[in-house]
Amino acid sequence: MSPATAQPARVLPESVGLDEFTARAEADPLPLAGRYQLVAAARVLLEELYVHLPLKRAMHATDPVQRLRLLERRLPPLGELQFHAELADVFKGLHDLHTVYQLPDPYRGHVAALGFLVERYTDPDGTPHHIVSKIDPALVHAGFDAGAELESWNGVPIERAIERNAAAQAGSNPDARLARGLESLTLRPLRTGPPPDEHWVLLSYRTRAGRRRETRVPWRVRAADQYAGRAQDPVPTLATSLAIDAGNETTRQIKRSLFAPPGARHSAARALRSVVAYRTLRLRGGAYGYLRVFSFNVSSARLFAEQVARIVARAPAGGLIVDIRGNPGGHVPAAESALQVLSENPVVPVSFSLSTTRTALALARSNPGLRAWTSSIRAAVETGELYSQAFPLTDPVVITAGLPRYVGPKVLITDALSYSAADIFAAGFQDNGLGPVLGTALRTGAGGANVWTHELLRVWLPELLGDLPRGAGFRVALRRATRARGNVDVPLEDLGVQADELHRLTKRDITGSNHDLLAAATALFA
Amino acid sequence: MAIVLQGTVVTFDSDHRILDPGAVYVGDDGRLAAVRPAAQDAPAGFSAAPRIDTGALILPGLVDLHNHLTYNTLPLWEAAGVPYAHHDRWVDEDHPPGYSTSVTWPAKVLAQAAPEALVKYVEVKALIGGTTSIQGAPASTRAVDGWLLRIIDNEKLPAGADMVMTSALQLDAEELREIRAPKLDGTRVLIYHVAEGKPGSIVHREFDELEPCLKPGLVGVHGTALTAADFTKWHDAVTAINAAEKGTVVWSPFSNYWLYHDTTDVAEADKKGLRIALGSDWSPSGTKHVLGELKVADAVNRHELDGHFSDRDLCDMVTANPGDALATAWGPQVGRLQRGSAADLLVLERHNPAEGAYRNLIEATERHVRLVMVRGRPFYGAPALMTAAGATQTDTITVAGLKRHVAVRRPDRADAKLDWPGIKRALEKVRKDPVAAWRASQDALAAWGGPLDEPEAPLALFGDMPDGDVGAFAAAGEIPPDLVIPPLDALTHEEAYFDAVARSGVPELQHLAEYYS
Repeated sequence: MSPATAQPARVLPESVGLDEFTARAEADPLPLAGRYQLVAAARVLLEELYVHLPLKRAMHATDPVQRLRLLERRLPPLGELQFHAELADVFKGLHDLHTVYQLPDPYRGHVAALGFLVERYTDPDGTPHHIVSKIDPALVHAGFDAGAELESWNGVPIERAIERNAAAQAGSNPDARLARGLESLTLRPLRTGPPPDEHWVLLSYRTRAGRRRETRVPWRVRAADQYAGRAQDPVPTLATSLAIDAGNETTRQIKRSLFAPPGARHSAARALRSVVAYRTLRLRGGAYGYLRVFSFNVSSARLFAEQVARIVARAPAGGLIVDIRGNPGGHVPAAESALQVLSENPVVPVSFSLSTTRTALALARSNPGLRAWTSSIRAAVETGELYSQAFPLTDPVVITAGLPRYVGPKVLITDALSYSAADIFAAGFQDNGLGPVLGTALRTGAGGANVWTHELLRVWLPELLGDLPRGAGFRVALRRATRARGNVDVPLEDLGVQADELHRLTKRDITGSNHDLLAAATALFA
Repeated sequence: MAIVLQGTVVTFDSDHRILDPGAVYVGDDGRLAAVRPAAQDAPAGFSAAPRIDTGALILPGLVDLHNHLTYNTLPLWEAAGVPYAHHDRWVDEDHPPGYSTSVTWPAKVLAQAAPEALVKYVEVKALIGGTTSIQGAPASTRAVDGWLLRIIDNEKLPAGADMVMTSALQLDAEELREIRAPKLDGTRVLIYHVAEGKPGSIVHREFDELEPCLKPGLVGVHGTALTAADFTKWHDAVTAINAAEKGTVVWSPFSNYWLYHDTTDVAEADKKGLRIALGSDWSPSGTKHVLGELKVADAVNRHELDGHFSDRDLCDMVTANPGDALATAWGPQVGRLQRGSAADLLVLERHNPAEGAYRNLIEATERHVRLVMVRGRPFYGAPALMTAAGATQTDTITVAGLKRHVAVRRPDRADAKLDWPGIKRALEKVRKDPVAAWRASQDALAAWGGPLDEPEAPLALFGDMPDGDVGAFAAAGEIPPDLVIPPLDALTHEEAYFDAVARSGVPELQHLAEYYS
């Protein structure tokens, strides 16, 4: 017999109801001309500048350009949300979180949120459990609190609900899709995908005391980042050295604003203190440094490296654990400079290639910063190469000149949400022999590219890329990353970094400050 | 506001009439309602308009068809390796003073840390030389809102569309052939750097690659490596399409001699039927403005070309000729004073009454520029004339020892908020601590996740020249920690400039100082 359905007495603070938000959006639809502009721009970006197009066509048997052609023919009858969903779905089919359609205002900078997070652990026998790990105090009700275990989601067994959700995600490998499927149960960045279809979710759960209950929690919409009172993306529009999943950075900001300790909730999105944290651990009689890097979304490689150098100067010589789980990436030179601070030897950075299309050549010719790539793109007409020569973005040794290095043993913790610049960091950690990589999933998120916005590309290709309506945009993987040293030329996209050791999260990890995970990490120092 | 300027009107119209006295009727719409002898009746709507007797020459504003504005706060670059064979040689110059440390980095930091101040400083520098239209706008994160000058790269004449394509960097042959050439359909202009280097050098192949674009509307910048046969080929190709059209060569003799100790064979280009326009190029290897470049052209004409060009021919190179080149895209808008054309005007003191109007223009220095108007708005000039022309929110500026007014503030424009002292302070602040200024600008850029066309969006400018070796810092968003930004280049041709010219020892450039003595 089903228990009575509860519902929270209060709503998520600083949010509006999803129904109200979507009604507002649908009341002022994008004109048809705007839709054509968007599809045309998407075609240019994917066909001419998207560096992974050959890979994605092969690996995922997808033809996004043809899908866009078809979409162009079918535009007029589509409803407002239908159009955004169709266009976003073309990009989702790429399984590339870098390369996204960004919905126009009012979706920019907003996230649909249920107000709690779900994490997963498995028993030693492999039985999965899905626990409410964080919850906004306003939503605590009827035993629905941190520690409650979910059993079903809208009437679907929770494991199956996550599988279904994972299948709809753009993650490039099964671990990454599963992780995204889990996260997107409760958080959906509206900038990169349409709002949830359902306005609330019906949850069956067991309270911490073991009582079975049912509740109905509404989707709400919150702004992730604000500038002068207006919602905007928490990722720069203009940076040329970014490797980041903008959607996940958006959800990270929401998580930070909802669930971080009070002092860390309101610092600027790209402030150094909001992207790193440090503490000293005492485990098994030893003292170890624990450096948490939440994101590489910073503005300065040098300042970030200085910050990391200052932190690790305090770390015990016995070992340093660097944890980049959930890190959506950011500034590539910052990630590689941080890596250099952790290494006594020169770090060989990853290299980047452009595609060899005519538009890529026009871009390389018009942007002086891409000059090095020009000749091999030009030669591709004769060589038949799909990718240009690969060059590093920077030299971390030069950027970190004069900074102290941490020379003690190190372990890197990754998960399937460690993405992009975090993939690059993990690859550098592994390829340059800094220490073992301990994964809570077998592979990292597998985003291997430098991503540019349509607006930034437009600075250099004004004749090819026109205006987009209402602040809509695109991000596109422009330069693909390939690894160094023993893995030279191995791409990161879709492959990621395979962990040297695997640790499946336990209940104590989720509910008790990663106790077992950290113990597993320190064991690797032995 | 509608006004009437009276003086000696040097029209540069098709008959090159000089109306003395003449009157220029400037309409509210920024266009010339009429250009007539002063004694003729005013056109309708001007009976109550203020009439200013300038007592001076009234000319079309000067057109600079070749520049790179981002770099114009920098002094002459006294490169160690001159003369270079061609434009790809000096880009990699690393002997002190190296290219990237002397040119790329200082310009890059100023362009991102103080973009509004940079733009306004270089515009004022051009205005002081009578320039009203200029080519060489930086790429930018959004459209600059509040230009003073008519920016040829961005101008949307006549029907709201940008019909002028520009490229200082060489395009791929395929792009020239398949994309640019079809666009040169008689309604568009392509201003393109081609064959910049010594005759016989490898850059000549750029002209071969440009062949599909040898059509009406092509404006070739430099062409120093081109021969008489090339000019013939170019001219024949253009006239085969439209016998009334001409190709245009942009001549920048100072820059050519400074870097290559040689210059374009403009006499041959002229003989073959091409049109010659002048460009002052950027300040690291050029004159301060096109009025200065006119003197270099005059000196070269007298000493190297046996006076091939008349005074009028030379003056046409900064007025009618570039105006005609742009007319392919814009129609007759600039460079000639006639009814319906843009009210871009230069009022110039007739400093040598014994000479004709054209010689007066050639020999004029910054001291002789009395008023400069763009779109009918006064932006620079002698205080009395500025006031009479309706200038507001002006700042005082001393130019070549004379008091002048400049109107750089436009409260309704996002990128014209600073006054003249504020512009200089902003640039000096960056010079004083480039690292701090750079980081502040990068923080502002990183903090912006909104659309770039919003008024609050940060503005960043990007130079249109090659970067050279910017090492590991550029892509990392960092700058060399020991970067020194040179003092702001003076607004006028002054002692330090001529000292550098003297040190260069390039004979063809030594005559320039004589015009300013």
